[in-house]
Amino acid sequence: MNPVPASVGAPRTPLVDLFPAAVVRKRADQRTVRLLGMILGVFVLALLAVTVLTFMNRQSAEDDLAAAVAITPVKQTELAKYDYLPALEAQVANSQHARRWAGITDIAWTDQLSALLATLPSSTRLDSLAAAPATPIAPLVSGNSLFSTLDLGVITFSGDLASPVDVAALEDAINALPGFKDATIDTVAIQDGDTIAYWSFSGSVRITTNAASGRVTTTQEVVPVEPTAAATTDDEG
Amino acid sequence: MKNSQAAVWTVSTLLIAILIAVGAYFLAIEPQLAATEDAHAAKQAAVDFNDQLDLQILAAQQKEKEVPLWMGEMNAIAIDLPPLPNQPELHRLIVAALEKRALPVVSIAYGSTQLIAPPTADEAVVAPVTDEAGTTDTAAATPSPTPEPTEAATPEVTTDTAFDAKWAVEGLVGLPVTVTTEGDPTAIMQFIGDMYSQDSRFLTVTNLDITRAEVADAVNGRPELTTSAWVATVTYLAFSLIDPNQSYPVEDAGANPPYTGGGVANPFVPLDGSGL
Repeated sequence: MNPVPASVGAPRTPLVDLFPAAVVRKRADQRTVRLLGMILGVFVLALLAVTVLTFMNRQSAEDDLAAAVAITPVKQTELAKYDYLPALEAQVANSQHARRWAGITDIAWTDQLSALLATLPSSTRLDSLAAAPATPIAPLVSGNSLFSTLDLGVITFSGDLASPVDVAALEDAINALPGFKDATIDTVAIQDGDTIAYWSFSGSVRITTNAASGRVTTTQEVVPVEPTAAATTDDEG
Repeated sequence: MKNSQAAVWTVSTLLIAILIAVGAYFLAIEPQLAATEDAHAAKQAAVDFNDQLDLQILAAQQKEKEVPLWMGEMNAIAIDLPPLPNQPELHRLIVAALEKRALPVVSIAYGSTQLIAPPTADEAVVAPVTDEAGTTDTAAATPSPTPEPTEAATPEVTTDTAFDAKWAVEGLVGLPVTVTTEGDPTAIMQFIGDMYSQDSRFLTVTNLDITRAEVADAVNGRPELTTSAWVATVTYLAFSLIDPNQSYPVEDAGANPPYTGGGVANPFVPLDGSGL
């Protein structure tokens, strides 16, 4: 038999389906089952892969968490080294407040007294002068007058005048001074001297906040000091 | 017939796949995802907390740089307000100041120490005080029906709790000391000025009394007193600030030597020349 020329493109085996229809169906069913089985298998494998992937993600996240948590005590230990600071800061603030409070009613008495004495009329002679200024214990006080306001205390004085009218000049002179106000004369009474008559008087004047010296912070030289380990430990304790 | 059987297989397979998928999701995948999410959230919280700690550490490190200045300032204030009454130093200071101006020590009287506490906001009125630098600040005052108007600022009644924080002071103690001297007015003013400007300890005057002196001759080291002389009595308040670490020193252990039965020092003998 002559071979079929290749140019014809004829199949090598005869294309004749000689299987019965039942066999053909069975084979088709088997192919379908295999195909579905393969698809199911691939699907299960994919699920498995996803499961593994999520497990690895979980492990990774838990490792990250452990690493982050492990750093925390180190940082807390580092921070604990500075636990003494709030107490020290409070101590510094208390010192500043105490210093401020100690000087809150301070008055430069030489300045105030010299001004007061210098302003008195020339005919004035003092017997006594007593200052009862405000103190850090009683910071600002008020007089008994209906016109009184808060101030830094009172100076009471007594003395003699050559003329009764000089009392008014005395009050005006004192009131004109910064740091003093409400000069008040309580009594003026004639006195018989050896050769003249003169007038004794007594009065008071209020000291205003203008007289405050303002010495509310330390004037000492502040030299920075490195804290010693012992001091730090004390503070921590 | 052929198509329907394949469809049954396909549908069955699909159902099985769905069952497997649902089972896998709920039994294996979802717990992992939930745990992962929890771990992420916990890690983020830990990271945030660590960041907060970092910030706190950074702030503390910055603050710690100020500690030397703080210590220096506290040491400076401790000169003004020592942790102990230091009465011997105070006494020497007063006597030296009087001697410097050739004034006699007529008397020095010490009062008992007293705790000084600023008023609280509820009982305080704020009034302006101008410090040496010229800046105006506020000072607390005892209550009064009419606050004092001043040029610097108008005082205000306050119940601000910040007041307490600003003015709260613990452990400030005052020691009153009353000094009486007599003599030349200029010397007395200079003595008062010296006590004001000295840097050994902060003192503030709480009472000042000047009277005309009684005429007297100079006697036993006391100067002659004329009608122009003053008798001055000045009460100072010397301050201490209690520091728990320094204000209560523990005495070193020790014992005085035992009496052996011999002669004893007798300081009850009157001073020579005292006339007693």
